[in-house]
Amino acid sequence: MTGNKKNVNWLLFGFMIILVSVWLFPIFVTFLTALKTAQEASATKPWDLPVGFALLDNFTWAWRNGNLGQSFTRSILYAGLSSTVAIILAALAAFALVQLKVKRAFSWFLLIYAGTVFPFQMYLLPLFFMYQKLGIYDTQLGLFLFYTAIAIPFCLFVLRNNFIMLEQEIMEAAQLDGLSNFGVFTRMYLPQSVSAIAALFLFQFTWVWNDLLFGITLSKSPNVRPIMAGLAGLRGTFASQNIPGVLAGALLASVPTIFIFIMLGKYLLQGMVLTTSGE
Amino acid sequence: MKSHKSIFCLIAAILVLSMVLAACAPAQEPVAEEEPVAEEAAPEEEAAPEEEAAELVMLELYHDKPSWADNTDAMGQSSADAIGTGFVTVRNEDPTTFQATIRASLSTEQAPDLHTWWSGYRMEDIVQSGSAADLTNVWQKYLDAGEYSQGVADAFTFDGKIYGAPFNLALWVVYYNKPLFEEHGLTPPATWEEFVALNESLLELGITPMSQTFIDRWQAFIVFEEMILRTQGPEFYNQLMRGEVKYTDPGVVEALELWASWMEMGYLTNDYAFGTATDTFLPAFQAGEVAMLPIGDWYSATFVGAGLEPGVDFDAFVMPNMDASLPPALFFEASPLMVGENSPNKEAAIEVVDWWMSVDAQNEWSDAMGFSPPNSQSDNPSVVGQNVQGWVNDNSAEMVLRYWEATPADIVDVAVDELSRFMLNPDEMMNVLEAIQVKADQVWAER
Amino acid sequence: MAENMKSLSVNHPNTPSLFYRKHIEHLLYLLPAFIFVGVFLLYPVLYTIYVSFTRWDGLNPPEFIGFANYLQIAQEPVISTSISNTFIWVAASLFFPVGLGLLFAVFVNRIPFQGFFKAMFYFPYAISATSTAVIWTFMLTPTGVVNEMLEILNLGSLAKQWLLMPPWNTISMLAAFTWQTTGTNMILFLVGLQGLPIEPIEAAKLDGASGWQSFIYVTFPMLKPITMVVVTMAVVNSFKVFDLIWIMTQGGPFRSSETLAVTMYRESFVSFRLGFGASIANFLSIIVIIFSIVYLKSIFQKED
Repeated sequence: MTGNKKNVNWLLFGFMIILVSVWLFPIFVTFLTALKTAQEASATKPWDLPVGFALLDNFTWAWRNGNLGQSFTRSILYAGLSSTVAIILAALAAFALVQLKVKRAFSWFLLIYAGTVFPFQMYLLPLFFMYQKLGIYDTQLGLFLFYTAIAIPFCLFVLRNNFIMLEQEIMEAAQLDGLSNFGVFTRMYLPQSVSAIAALFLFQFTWVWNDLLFGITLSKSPNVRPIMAGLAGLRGTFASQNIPGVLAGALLASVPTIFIFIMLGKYLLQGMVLTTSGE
Repeated sequence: MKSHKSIFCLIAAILVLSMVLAACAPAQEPVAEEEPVAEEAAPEEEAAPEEEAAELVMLELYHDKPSWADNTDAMGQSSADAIGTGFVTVRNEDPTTFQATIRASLSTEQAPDLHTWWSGYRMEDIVQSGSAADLTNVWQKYLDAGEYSQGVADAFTFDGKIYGAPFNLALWVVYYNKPLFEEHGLTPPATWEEFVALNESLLELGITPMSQTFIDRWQAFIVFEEMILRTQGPEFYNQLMRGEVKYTDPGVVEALELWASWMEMGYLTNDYAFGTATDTFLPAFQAGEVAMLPIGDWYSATFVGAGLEPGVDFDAFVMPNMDASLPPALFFEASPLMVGENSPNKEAAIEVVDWWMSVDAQNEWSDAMGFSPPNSQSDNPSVVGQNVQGWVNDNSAEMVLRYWEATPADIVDVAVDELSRFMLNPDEMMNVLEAIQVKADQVWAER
Repeated sequence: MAENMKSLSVNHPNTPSLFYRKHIEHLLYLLPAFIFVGVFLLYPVLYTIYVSFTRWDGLNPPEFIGFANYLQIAQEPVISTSISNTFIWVAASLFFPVGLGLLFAVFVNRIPFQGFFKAMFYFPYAISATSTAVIWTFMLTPTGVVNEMLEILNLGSLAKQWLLMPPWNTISMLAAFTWQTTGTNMILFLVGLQGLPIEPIEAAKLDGASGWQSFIYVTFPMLKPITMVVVTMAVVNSFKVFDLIWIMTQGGPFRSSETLAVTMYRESFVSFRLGFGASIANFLSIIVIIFSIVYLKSIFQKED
């Protein structure tokens, strides 16, 4: 696809550079503000260059006052574990729908998919009551279970469609190899869906990591609450503001998701799996 | 059967993983606590009510002001030191889910021991549902001793019983840029004429006199209530709040016409936002582009946070009355500290409230927060607060409950939306007032 | 035994016990996901359906009032604004985040430093909604960055109170939404693009098709499974759009930028008319489910 089109690509490249600059402008302004002290930020325009370098102070302020240290690893655990479990369960279900052709597949699909249709905010009160009754209110298990459940419908949807694309080819190969159902699942479907799984992990991780409402509704103790509670606490009340600190906290809290993005980049980029393996 | 087993194993593995997560998680946590308060307090919390061995009782205080949490935790510890019953903070970072979860748990056994709320009509719901503990006995002692004014108690009184202690008390003032005033030889106005002249002088200097906004919705009532109070007086305002006067009354129309003329003359603009998400007012204030802001005196903390010094870089005055014959008055805001009637620790929580209202506790709390203390024997820590308090005492000014709590919440909800429509387009005035009145009629008819 | 289990729907079982065993095995794959969804997501839906038939303030016990809340939907003046705003969001989010997402994916797929570009476009999604709102209110207040930029560019007359005036408030929020979500759609399309077999595209090139022709006639049709996911999720999510609006304008000023989800939240948790809020939630869900059934069923049938 390269060769004769090299000049076109560079034109496009230039265009994309401009586009990315526009796209990142709000983040650039955020970053500039995070470099300033609170006094400086309120006395200058957002795009004025900072006179000093308060970024590290702001990071420290956010880290301490938001108790981010405490919740950082815990939120990584919530996000990582629940995304993983949700993807596994959704993949199993998708396999049942596509390969095993369970009866009334569309109804089953719709039933699970319905979990994503309903406006999430309406889950808050019923879950709050349910969690208190089941005794999982304010527990790490409780949050993990909810985060897993909420991720399943979307994962099922994506994986089902991904499996459909693979189905024909795999059916034939599997029959030749004489694999069991579970073998077909683990040895054929999963390896062929790496980039979809990587994308799902990324999205679900990010979603759970950024969740505030469910985290603070279903828990109250500092040793259960997710990181966004601390981050939201920074913004806190009207009366005490340190905008640069809040923005520094926001940037700090986006590090894990960006990091995971970069780590998964290899798999997201992994193209042509289908064709190469088919040959 | 092979496949049958493997899938079963996988599911079992996931379940085990969840259990492990549940089991190991609490064990690794308690060490992480950093505040000494919570560290000492937390282990006692569960055990205390049952076991006679532990004397220290730690209750829970729910509130939605996370940036105050360190101070409330410190108060909880002081309370524990003073009376053997303290509390730790359960913070909620989102005001709407805070209200929903508190309301939802008040009628259950998991009712909060102590929680903050809003006064007036917003408190009425809770009192009427029977979920608020009666604090009249505690209050009586302080009222008899003359430490608290009846006005504060009235904000929390329903059918003769008092259901809240003051968590915070704010006076509503007009902040001004002091160096800017001094530079141009301007002084805070004592009369309406001076106020108008001040605005004119500022305009001539190319400075925007006053800022208003409705970026978070609620701020739309600020200038509205001031205009009503300053043109019609407290008596009329309170009648409007109680539904005895209509929003289409000539008095209200006069106030809004004045407001519209101020916007037209440029005394007030929507150009600078002050709010929770962002604050573009503050840079403009510091740069001397806008001179004044009418708001609650808790805004001092925002100024201080931006490095401004109270009494030096900024100060405050109470907006003068248009008609000099009207009684001196100013708005106040009071948030109650309430006790859950259904809380298993109700009695202990009432003891904490008793301590909270004491001179010592109020000294500590207002000192930590920079608030004006409701207990008249406590020291006012803020220079600006002292000035305003002095003005109130000198003029024996009437304290008027601010709009947000003074009238039923359903009316407020509609009114702030409609008033923002008016702020964008003053020509809509009559439509706006009629729309609010339609809601008011409906609400008062239902009550 | 395992070898026989491949196509249950076609072959009839030999014996009843084998049939049930297969059946149970197949359900084992499905049930864990279903149980999670059932307990944590579908139970609250049933609860909300119950609440929608009551008058409830969250404080006193709910009181059964039949269909009154649903009748109220037709009467409440704000609902018509909410419905039209909701459809504006749905249409616009199909056009911008999805359209741009596809365009970016195709472009990024053809240039060097793909990893860099992808990360940069994805960045806005990595930042929490709360922070996104802080950033954008910063940009959009009357003295904010956007207006100041317009001044600098000598376009001061275009400066506006972006968040305070309909319809600019909705347009501004759509811009913020596009900024936030385009990256995720781009990633999904890239996953789709990279899974495509290369032969048909090469074949089209050999036949003399231009880049655009081969994209429209060959690549895009092959992207259908992923397009279906992206389109469905874009529609579902924009029907439910809430966070960004709530943090940026709370649906204001004067309820002009409310969508159904915002109205639902406001009625439920600000006005504490939980029954009415629940009925709006159900009304909204029914619209989305009807859309989903029609759209997905047509595609599912074609696949079969």
